[in-house]
Amino acid sequence: MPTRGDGFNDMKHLLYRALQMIVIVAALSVVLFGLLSAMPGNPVDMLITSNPRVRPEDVIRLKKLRGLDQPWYVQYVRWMRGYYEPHRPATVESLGLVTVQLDGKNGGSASVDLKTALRDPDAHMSAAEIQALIEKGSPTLWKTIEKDPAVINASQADKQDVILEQLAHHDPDFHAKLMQSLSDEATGKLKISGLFGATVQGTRVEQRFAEAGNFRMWFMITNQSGLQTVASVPVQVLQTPPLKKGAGGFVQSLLDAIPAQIVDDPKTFSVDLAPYVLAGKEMPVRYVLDKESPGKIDATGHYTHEFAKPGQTAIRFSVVDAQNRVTHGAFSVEHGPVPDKTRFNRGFIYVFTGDKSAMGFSSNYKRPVWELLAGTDESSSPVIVAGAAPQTFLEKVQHYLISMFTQSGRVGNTLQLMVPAILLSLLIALPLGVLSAYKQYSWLDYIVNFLAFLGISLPVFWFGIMVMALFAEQLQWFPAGGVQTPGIQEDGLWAVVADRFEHAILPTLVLSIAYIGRWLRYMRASMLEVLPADYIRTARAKGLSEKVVILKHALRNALIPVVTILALSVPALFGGAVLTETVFSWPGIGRLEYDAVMNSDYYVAIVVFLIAAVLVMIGNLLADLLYVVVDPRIRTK
Amino acid sequence: MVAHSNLTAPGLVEMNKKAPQSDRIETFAELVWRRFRKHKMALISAVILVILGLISLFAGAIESILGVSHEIASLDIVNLDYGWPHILGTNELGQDVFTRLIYGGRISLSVGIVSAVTSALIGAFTGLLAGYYGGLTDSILMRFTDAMLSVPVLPLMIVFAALDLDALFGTSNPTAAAIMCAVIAVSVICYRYASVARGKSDQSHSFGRNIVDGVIVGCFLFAGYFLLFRVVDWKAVGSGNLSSVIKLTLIIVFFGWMTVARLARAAAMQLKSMEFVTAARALGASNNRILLVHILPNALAPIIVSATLEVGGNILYEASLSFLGLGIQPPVSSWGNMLNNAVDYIKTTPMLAFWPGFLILVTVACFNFFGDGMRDALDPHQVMKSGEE
Repeated sequence: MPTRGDGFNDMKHLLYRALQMIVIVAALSVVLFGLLSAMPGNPVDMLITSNPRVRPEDVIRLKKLRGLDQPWYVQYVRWMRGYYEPHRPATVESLGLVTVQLDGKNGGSASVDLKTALRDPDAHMSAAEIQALIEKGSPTLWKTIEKDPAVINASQADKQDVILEQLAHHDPDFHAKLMQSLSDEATGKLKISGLFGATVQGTRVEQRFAEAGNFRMWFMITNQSGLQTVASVPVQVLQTPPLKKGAGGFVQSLLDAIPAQIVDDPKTFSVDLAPYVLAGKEMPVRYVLDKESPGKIDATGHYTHEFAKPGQTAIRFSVVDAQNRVTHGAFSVEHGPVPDKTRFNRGFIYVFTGDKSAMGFSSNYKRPVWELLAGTDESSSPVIVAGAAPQTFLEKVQHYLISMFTQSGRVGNTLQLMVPAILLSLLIALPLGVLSAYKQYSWLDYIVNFLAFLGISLPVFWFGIMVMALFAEQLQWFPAGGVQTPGIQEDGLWAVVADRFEHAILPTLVLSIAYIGRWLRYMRASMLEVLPADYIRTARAKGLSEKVVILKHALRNALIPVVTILALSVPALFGGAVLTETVFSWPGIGRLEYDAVMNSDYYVAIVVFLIAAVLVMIGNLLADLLYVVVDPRIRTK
Repeated sequence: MVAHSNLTAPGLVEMNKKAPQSDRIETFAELVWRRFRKHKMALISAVILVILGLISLFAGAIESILGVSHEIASLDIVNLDYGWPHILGTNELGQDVFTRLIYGGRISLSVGIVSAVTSALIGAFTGLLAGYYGGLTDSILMRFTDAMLSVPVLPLMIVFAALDLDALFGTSNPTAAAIMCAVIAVSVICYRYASVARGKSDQSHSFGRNIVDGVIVGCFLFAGYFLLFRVVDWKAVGSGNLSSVIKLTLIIVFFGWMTVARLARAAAMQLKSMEFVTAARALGASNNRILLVHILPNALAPIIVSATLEVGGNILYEASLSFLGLGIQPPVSSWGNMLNNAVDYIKTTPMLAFWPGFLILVTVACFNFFGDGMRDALDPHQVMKSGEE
């Protein structure tokens, strides 16, 4: 290899390591997702049903779009990238019976206005459009909504929903009015067409009936994405004057109501219409399919069709009995969800573009995962601190610090536990290791070695329980668990700091105890290897003081292997954090991960695991950097 | 952790050791025993471990002598204090704590030992192959080990422990698996060509040889798939009293074989360039024979030491997972799940939580001391390093 300078090789090495770690994390996320799909209780369903913005009626549609009927790797890709939300077909509320009087030879005209019964769940407006409407209605109201943290933090995908929620919160009347006008506008865009002789004028459906009897007036609604819904109004046509006795009575409808159908298989659909025919058993009937409807219907009333494209289609048909009485019927078939290209549910990958809400939603805590991890920061919801609002600079700083401390979030809590634990273990382990190596075979060495062995063998959680039972339950020196006393933020900054410190003492001690043993032994072994080296003898021969020889010549060389070990034990430290956090009810990410796995909170489980992996990777990278700092030989190699 | 185990090869050891007291030449076993004896803590630990092992072996007999039950809950003797016949009292369900501890020790010890032995076997097999043959096997193994070492193990174990084995292995698509295996086989072939082209591989294989290698790898993978997903009846494994024990052992083995693999690889890499291996090869020994007869016995020392040390770690993993409620499930008792139950009664009866943890501590510490003694006895490099000989 030609020499290209030290910096180049360092950078190359670090880049290589970073790349390797990214690959590991990515592979890990794939494996984890695959594993989670083998969890009991169909866990990946939870990815949808835990999302508060998903409407119950959309769950089936969403599951299809989300790929839940696909193998797990397809689901993984959709979880990463995101998925379009489905178009929703228009719905009609069930309408009451319409009574019509037959009027001589002209017959009778039934008419119904669908305006209030019609609903278009697919209708939505962009955040900008809603903003314009609110600003037109009340500019001051918009200013308050605009400043609301929920609106500021909302992702593009659901900003309009958040704005409407806030509007309902601030001014319910205005919200109701706005919603009414929105829905009016939406229903205006629906296309209504009458079936089997019904005519449509605006939102009014009309049909003329020539004879008395029970009928249905059929109509079809097509929304903007081409999804068809059929509905009907029962109509009772009465004769004036009433029919004489024995003249036959009302002509009965031949058909019962047929519910909307959903295709389970992606393509083929079949339904038996015979059960819905009321007269089928007494007399033979024929089935005739409408010319415009796709599919086939056979003599026994079995309808089949293979739908090529997803959507919702109205199927119309007629039932004719032996006396040539005809009854029309229709039903709509939903054969696959149609993705709405304007509404995209962002996948996890959008976290890297800064969309925090793409991390998902915790079904267990009913909070966005991001909020759980990072805590609610100052900008999103100001902490209520007793007394007046902060005035001076000092007060503002204090106020900020209090909110930072008391709302540290899960990641913050774990770091608050881990960083002091690492520092404490290093502070105890390294000097003791050096000392016990320097005084090998002394009583100090034996005792330290024995204690180190015990430290390695100690079950962290049991030690935690015992320490808690002794110091928290019996002696009551420390609080028994948790990260802070509730409501402590009202007592001022120093009370908060003292309180958190008090809570952290026991868990930090417990977490560090195992690592003291491990690192001490490594330090001792490494030091023992260095001490007999020639350069130490040379240093002594030069007449350097013992302090300089040990601390400068020996320690620095002995530290090199120890640094690698330190980096490699960060994952184990994280594992220890899970146990310690469980024992001390410390709300950190280890505990969160455990709870998430136990409660099938899968968004949280995946995200927390990836965060842990990234933390570990960062630890490894730091160790690589430290390695270069500690060992000058690497730079010149 | 490079094994200088060539020194323990019988012929070399005799040259290495000090002048014998008598004319008789000291055997290898005597040498190991002489070194092991020096480690007082290891000796004491071995005695304690034997006692613990015997007690848990005769758990049934002890239970019938005492006339108590570790399984039957009886609500009229809940939370008894020390006494007779309940030596350590009873727990919140009225089960005898002492016999539960013994039965728990049976489970904890066997999980620890079985998983350590299994992972040592797997690790030794893969590590020796990787170290001896090098090349692709080596780099795949080492990348995988790197990945496993840089991942928080306990959270992953939690995920694994919460898995439904039947759902994981029972439902799968053989066609998809076959395609995956084919893809891997093709990538193996491509890798071989790429490494030859880059001049990284010292062996230049013929076209046919590369293809055959790739196909063999693919077939192996598919056979493994078939064994895991089709032959083993996971529903049967998943039901029954000991299912959680089997599952936990599998999990610990899955995460535990890498250390031994690394050691075995290092030993094999170092040993394969030794003179006695060259000599064996010159005498016409096959690769298999060299690996089994010449390399394996000399690489055994670090493997045994590491496996012994791993028993302690495995017991800790078992206890941690059972403590979290994910490992051994009641009514089978283990030290870990006894702790799990005892935490709720920490205020009233703290000793319920004390005993299982104390036994874990003692056992793990004993295994660690014992392993340390074994290292001193079997792995003279360490001994020389600490300046004893």
